[in-house]
Amino acid sequence: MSVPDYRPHFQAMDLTEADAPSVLAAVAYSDDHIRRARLALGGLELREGAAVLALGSVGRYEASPASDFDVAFLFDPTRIEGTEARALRGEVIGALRGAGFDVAEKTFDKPIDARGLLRNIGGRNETNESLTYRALLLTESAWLYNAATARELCDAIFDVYRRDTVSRGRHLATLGNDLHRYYRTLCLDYRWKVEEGGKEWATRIMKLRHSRKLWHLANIAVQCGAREADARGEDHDAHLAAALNRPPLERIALTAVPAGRADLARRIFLAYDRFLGRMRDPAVRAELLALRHEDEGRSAVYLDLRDNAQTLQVAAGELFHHLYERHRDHLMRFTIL
Amino acid sequence: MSAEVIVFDLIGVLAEPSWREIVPPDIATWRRFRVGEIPESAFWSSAHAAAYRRVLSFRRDRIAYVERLRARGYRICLATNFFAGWLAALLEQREERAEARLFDFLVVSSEIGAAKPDASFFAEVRRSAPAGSVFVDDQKSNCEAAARAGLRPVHAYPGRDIEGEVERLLGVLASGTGEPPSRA
Repeated sequence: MSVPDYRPHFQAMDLTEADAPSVLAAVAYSDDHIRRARLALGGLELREGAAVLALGSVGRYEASPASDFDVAFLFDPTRIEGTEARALRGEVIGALRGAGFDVAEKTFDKPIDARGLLRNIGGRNETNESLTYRALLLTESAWLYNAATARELCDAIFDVYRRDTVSRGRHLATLGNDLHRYYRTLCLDYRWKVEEGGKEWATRIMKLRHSRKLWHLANIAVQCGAREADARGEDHDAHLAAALNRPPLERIALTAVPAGRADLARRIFLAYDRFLGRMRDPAVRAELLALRHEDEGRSAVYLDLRDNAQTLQVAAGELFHHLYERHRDHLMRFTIL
Repeated sequence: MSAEVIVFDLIGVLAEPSWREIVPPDIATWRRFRVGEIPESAFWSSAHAAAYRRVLSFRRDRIAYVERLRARGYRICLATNFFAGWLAALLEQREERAEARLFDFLVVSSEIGAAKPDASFFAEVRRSAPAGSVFVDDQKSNCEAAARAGLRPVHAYPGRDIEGEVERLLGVLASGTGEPPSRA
């Protein structure tokens, strides 16, 4: 993913930079973070067959100083062995930490066999992990080390859906289903983490209701956009491939504005800007972290974010309704039923 | 007419990354630098110059395909909006001093003083690549300009099967065997 520029969309959405300060601040912060990380890792020997990418809010250009820095290490086992990959990953993490980056080692805590992500899709040996990586690498990743290998491995993920002969359909049905499935996985992950994993709930539910919901809507939007490109005689796969690795907000703008619904994109931008602004605030995060579920009704911070989530939901729902009116059969078949 | 020359763009097709991913883009200065109007020192700092040379690399899958094409007798033209000094650094990674080993023709914007999608750039490409030659680029505007110049473009969007598309066009263009006419 390259750095987004939302400014060209603002006029159509009747927005100014002053209306979306948190969105723009997030882009600037994430862009600086990514460029500095690239320079920090640029001192390492360029090892063919290995790549490092930022995922999560940094990869989406939505990060703030309060955000985790999620880093994925991919390797091609036909070019680099697992032991060497682990050693190189250690060097990468060391270089980043030496440059002052606080690298999270939660979800992405080991080297990932990139070729393994391309197998068993939908099969009994598939894992949650491979689904997660495919979805995130396609939709919210930015290279940090070895751009050429990163591009090659990410292209291979799109290609594995594109080249299906029986199941791809005209509009890459498997890809749409996989992204949809990942969204549902996130929703179920929430259940496991708060009910069995003992994780805090309030931040997670707000992320689900804002960033994860927007991600899901943006996926649906670009798939509809690709169908419209196809109807115009343009290359469906080209449109989809180019759009998928844009940030969710940009995908919403690229879909809603040409469709004459800049008003909906505006409302989504404003609600999302408010969400990003609140989540940048350490005091907000601290209150959400400490909030017990039974106390939700007594937290002004939580109630404010809940109301904002509802505002986003209403606008998102109207955009979905707009897309449904134009792509009823497709969305009924691949999204609803 | 034979189509024994295949034209490839560099960044976004055969190699990564773009300079834009190292520093925030100053497009006005880039447009002057890319056609050789200003030196690299006026484009960015020496630290960025060194950093970019360190992170530049070819895509192994795409270069392997280029090598297979050359082995089959096709000639390869590199047509890029790029600085010749960066290209030299990239080629040195392959431990090659003779640029012709990977590319038979080089059309580099900083050397010829013109850039894609300008017609003058493609006039230079056409000095090496006859009409009907396959042209591979990740920018749609460059593909459209290539078509106007008499080339057959392949738009290399993310995830596209470049090899499949090039082979399809070669199969259409050639005499039916997919092989170029034997070289004299």
